[in-house]
Amino acid sequence: MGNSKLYKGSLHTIILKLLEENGKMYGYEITQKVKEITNGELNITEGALYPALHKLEAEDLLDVEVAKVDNRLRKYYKLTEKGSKETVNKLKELENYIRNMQVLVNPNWSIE
Amino acid sequence: MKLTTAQIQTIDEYLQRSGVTYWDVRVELLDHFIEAVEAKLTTTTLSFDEALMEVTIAFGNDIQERHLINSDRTEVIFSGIFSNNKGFKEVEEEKRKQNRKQYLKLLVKQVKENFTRLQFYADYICFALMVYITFQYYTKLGFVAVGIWLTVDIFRTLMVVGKYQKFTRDSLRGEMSSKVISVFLGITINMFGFIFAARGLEAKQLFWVMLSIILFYPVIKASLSIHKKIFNEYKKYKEIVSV
Repeated sequence: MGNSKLYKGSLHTIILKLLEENGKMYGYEITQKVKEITNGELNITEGALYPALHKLEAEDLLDVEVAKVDNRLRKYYKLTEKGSKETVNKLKELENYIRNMQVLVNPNWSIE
Repeated sequence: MKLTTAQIQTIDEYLQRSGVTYWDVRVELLDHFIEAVEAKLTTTTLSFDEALMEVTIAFGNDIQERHLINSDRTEVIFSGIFSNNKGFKEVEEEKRKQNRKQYLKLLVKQVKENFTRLQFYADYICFALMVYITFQYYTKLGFVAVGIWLTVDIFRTLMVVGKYQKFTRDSLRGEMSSKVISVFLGITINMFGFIFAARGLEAKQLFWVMLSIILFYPVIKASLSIHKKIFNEYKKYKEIVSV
């Protein structure tokens, strides 16, 4: 499937969901986690990931923690309280979207 | 496979040459590049340069081969592989955009925070009284007093930060904060210019000028506090990596 444009609109939701499950994560870790979960089917490009992370940070949905790792700095992202609430909303939105697409594309198939 | 210090240095210099000049943007990309290149060297047979190029492409940069023609136009010579740095520019531009949004929020937060401090109230009352009294008695003196007060305040902040000459060139947040302060410094310096313009001002106009200065004072103070905070954060992180 590779990098379908269909995934683009869901990037923020993917990031929020991953952080909800894993606590704090750094950029490279996020790309690898997505690859691992989807068995390499979905590949988040770095060029899309960092602008998305910076946007979520500016919207106060993510908090940044800086730590020293191997004599360099690493930026860890974690959900803020507002981010946790937004994750629930975004996931609900995505679920509804998938449900509606199902009905439109294949009415006999169900994710339930 | 862990990268050597020399290889990490190479990546850092490569990022700087590729236009990722701001340290606060580069620090995150550098960590990503190191992790990604290390993983590629461990799991594939790619060389360091090839791994570096693959990560560059993953950032949305286009890679092009460039060729030169020799002087007698008989031979095409391969001159190297170049990246257009499109992806890096996009990351930096988005960061700049988000910084602007964050700065406005920070400014509002800092103004509110200042109003919870007794020291700020004392400072603000002194400033407002000084503006009110000087303008009442002698308009020209009012502008001079405001100009001197604000110039001293701004320069006191710049002196603290000034020891680190690289700060505003090195930090995207620092650069933005400096620009805001420069605007305020420009307005302040123009205060002295008002000495001549004030001659034609009526009492009502003068009242509005005076009120604007008093109302705007907390915003200037907040911008100075933010500049110091951004600088302290920058200094802290720089010290962490240098230890």
